Amino acid sequence: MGRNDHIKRFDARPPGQPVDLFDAPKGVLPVVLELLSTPWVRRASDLPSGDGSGKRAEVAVEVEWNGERGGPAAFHYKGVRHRVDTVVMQWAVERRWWDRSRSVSRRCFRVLARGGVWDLAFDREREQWFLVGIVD
Amino acid sequence: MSGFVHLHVHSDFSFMDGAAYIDGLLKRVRRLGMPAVALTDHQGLYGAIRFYRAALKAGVQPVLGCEVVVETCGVIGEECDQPPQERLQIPPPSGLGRASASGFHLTLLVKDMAGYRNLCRLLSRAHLREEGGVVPRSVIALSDLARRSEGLIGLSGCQRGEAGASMLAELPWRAKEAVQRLARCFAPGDFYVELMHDMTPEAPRYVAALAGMAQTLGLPVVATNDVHYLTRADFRLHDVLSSVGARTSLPGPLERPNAELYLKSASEMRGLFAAFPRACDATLEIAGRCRLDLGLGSFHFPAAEVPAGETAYSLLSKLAWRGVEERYQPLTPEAVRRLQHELAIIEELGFPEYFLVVRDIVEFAKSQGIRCSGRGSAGDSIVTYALGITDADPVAYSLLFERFLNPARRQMPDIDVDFDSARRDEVIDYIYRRFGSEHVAMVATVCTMTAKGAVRTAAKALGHPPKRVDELSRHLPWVSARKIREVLATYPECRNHPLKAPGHELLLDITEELSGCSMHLGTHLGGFIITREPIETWMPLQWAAKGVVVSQYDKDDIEALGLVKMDILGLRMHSAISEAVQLARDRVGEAAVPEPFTLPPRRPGRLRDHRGG
Repeated sequence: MGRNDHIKRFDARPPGQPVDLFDAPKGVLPVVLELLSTPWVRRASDLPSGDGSGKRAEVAVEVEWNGERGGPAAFHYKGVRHRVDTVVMQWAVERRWWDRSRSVSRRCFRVLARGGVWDLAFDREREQWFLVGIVD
Repeated sequence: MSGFVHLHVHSDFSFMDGAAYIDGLLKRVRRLGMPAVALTDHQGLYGAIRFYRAALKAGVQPVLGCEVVVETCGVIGEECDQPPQERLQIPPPSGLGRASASGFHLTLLVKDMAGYRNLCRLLSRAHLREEGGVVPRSVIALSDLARRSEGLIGLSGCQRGEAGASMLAELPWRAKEAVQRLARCFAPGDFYVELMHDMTPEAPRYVAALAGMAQTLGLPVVATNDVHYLTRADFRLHDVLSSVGARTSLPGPLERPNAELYLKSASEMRGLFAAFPRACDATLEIAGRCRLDLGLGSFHFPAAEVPAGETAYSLLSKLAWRGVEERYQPLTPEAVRRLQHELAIIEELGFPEYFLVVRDIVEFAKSQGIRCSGRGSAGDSIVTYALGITDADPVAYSLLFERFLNPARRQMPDIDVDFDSARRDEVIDYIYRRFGSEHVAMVATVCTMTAKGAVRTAAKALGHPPKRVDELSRHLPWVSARKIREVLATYPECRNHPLKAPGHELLLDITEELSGCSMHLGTHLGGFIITREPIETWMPLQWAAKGVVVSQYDKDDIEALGLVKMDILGLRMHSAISEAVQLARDRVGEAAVPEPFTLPPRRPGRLRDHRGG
């Protein structure tokens, strides 16, 4: 095969249904690893806004927490409840703690929900969830 | 398999970088139910012995190790052809001190005593290397690593390792080359590719890429967290230390993206490496293979000169009897009884060689007319008196020998000798000549932060200019940084101290947290270690700021290892007496003031006479 063969071999059937990435017959790990090592998967918040493919955001949202999984179970955006299919990636940000006006302390989750990739962040200082990036 | 062992941990002995205190580290390891933990400070084993002892006491298996800087594996010529912006950046030094160096990191763990000795040799050889060679000072050459890797396990390093840095720079071919070359330095099965997930967006890709490469090369992987502090809340201490260590204010050159380099629980680590359970299992396997026994509790004396047909005890005995006959005229039953008693104890404890070595040094000083005197509890011994090491008669003054050596308390004897401070260097030269420079080094001291040092560190990190740093740390007494608020509130000299002005809450918080943090390695005033085997097989050595070779261990560590430490101290009173005697001899003649000159004992009113001129 070649590059990204796990992704290419991924069986997206049944046709017409929303793609459930994690229903692959041989487990999800090879696909996830390939996705993570693939240069075209970028953080939504890194993408320039206004090009139609992704944008930064800073919108307070309500998040339902899944304690068992240790990640968001769903979030509410523009009046719609988005069920989180899976958490693709997590990262943490702690910056400029010595300067209260500019400090950032966040735990971020990249999630797949309703076919899109969303970046959710819990701001520890404000104790609030934010939607910080979107790829449609 | 469940559980996890942290194999890459920096304590505050990673000077101006690590922010985990050893006691706290072991408490947290115990609380998390981990069976073992490693200590891998930058470029040395500074905290290794106290960590080893404390871990055994706490019921945690200690794994000794070190994060070293190793020679670049990549092809230099090929890299030079690249434009500068495309070359792989060589990491700057981590931490502060003469042992720090620029270069790629490699984690080394000690499996056994052979590994410990090899690690000490590797570090010593790197730190004592002449400047200007192909491999810079304090960087371990690959050829040395290959030669001295027995008993060591190598991990490919953090993101500042050559493999990690190459992978982050999207140079997988170079990462592969580095890992292959490093792996060849170790015995099969003793080299692991180190996976570190620092919770950045790049981390999953980094881990997956390294794990994929390891699989291709048939090398095992191991998970670490490059621990620099114990809990997430402690991360700012690491930020403060690393920025000041790099002589900048916050955020410093490292500018860590988050607070994830803390001592995570087994479940947190296994959660991070859910796709690579083997990497977590490997931590337990490695800890199981690292079973170092330093053999604490036994003593290791330097080689005394013993003529053929004699033993150290027989020689000591002869010298002591000869000495006691000269000192006591006539010889008293009490002196005889006491000498027999002391010699028996010295023999039982196995210390004859130690006494012979001290006598050897004192005899040299006397032969050269260098004034010297033993002091402290050594004066309680008739053996030291008979050997001429001390001059106080323990029988006449009813001095208790057990204060000096107690068979119930098996401790290394400590004989301190003061020498004429003007001529102390001659004695030191003799020690190096007599025992060989490979067997002698100076004892280190570890300088820790008090209130003043902590305030200065915190103020520098927060960006105060040097003049302001001086103002903020002025008039602070020599007290623990933990007491800074109490000091400011109660000490008269701090009545109008600038730290009491509003706006310094954060600075004071950081100051308190820095209390007792190790800052750098210093040199003991007069402590020397003398060993029978080359000293670099016992401890790593490095250059001290004053241009002498110093051990990385302090006096307590050396005592714990059972090695001989001698305090060769300079006493200016001896110099003053020497000068006075010389003046007197010049004025009234040599016959009137015979050498060696001693003050006759017990003459009432002597001091008054002296005062009167």
